[in-house]
Amino acid sequence: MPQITDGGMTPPDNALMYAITGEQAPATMAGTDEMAEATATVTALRRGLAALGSELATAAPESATDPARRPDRASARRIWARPWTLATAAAVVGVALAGGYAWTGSDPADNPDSRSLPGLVACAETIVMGNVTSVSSQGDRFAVTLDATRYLKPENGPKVFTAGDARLPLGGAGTAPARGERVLVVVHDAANGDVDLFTGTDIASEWAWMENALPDSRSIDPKECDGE
Amino acid sequence: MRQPLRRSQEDDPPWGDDAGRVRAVLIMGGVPWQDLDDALQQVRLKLLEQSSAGTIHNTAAWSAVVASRVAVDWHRGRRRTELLRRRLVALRAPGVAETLPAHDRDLALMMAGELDELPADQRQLLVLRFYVDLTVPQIADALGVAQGTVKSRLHHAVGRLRDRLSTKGMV
Repeated sequence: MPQITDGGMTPPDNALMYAITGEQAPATMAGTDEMAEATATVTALRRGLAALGSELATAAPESATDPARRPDRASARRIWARPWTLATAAAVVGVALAGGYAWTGSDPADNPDSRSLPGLVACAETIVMGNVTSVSSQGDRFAVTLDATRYLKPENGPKVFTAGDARLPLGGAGTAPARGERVLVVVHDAANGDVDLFTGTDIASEWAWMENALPDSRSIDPKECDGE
Repeated sequence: MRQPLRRSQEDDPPWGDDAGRVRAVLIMGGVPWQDLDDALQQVRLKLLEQSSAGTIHNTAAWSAVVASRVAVDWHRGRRRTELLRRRLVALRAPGVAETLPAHDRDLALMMAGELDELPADQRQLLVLRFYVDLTVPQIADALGVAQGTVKSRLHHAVGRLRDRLSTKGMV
């Protein structure tokens, strides 16, 4: 049973979302183990991608040659030895780590209305769990119809629920769900085809944090959803 | 602060001095090595089309977004035959000067493996958020999706990564 604090939120999930978005976490969360772990995770992620990016950015060949089959290893060494190449690598790492990529000049941490996970739930149109009764492919999207067993949002809904424009299951094997498979559907914005699907063990974990975020989500004005 | 796009000279790459980052975004997004030049050309054409159609406020950020889109399309249109992790290992030839700390090299290798496991959409979001350093609203705006969608997918992908990093003692 997850520990519930901070208005019904599970600390690890909520802390992770604050770390991901860069939104200002509430004072009660500052200094907690969960926040420290979430921050460390995101820091490691940034650092790993910056390191990976620096290697790929500078070592990518000009010609269409597969490095795995390239016999001349000396050429790879020459690339790394070029001073300008190393300078570029340092610049890439610097840019990524500095976090200073101001595009619009607005920092999400400046937004006092940010509510992270509750906001996400508040702005979802439908959150429903059920068993798949039919699937029809539409390119790399598909429509899925469920025998709904439980609604989180709205509180109740039709027994038969159909979602169009669903994407392949997040973290799944890259295939559409099969008839009879249990799924969790989150419709963020049906009009624009923003529909997420979860299968397998992801269902329980995703449902848990959304259910915990539900109480706080009720205090959020749907008009704020433009920002979610 | 918004930076108006300066019209590129015909022979100048539209991404200015950011060619390395555009390449990295393409490769991290799943573009095979042998297709990299073609993909770069696609990014170049798309940027030139868009810059002639209107003002792009931040060329560097926009070129990364366009590169991420090209990578997703590439990823979807062709069967992935090369693993990013394998490519990274191949680049690390014996005797090559190690410019990164050992911990960062390990993290880079792990990240390559993690990106290999992710669907194209989630790869794109991780790269745009944590490598290109765009904010969630910027990503949602650039990709034309709800911010909730971006948050949900990032939360899911990073949550999995958190567990793996923790298991491997990387955090």
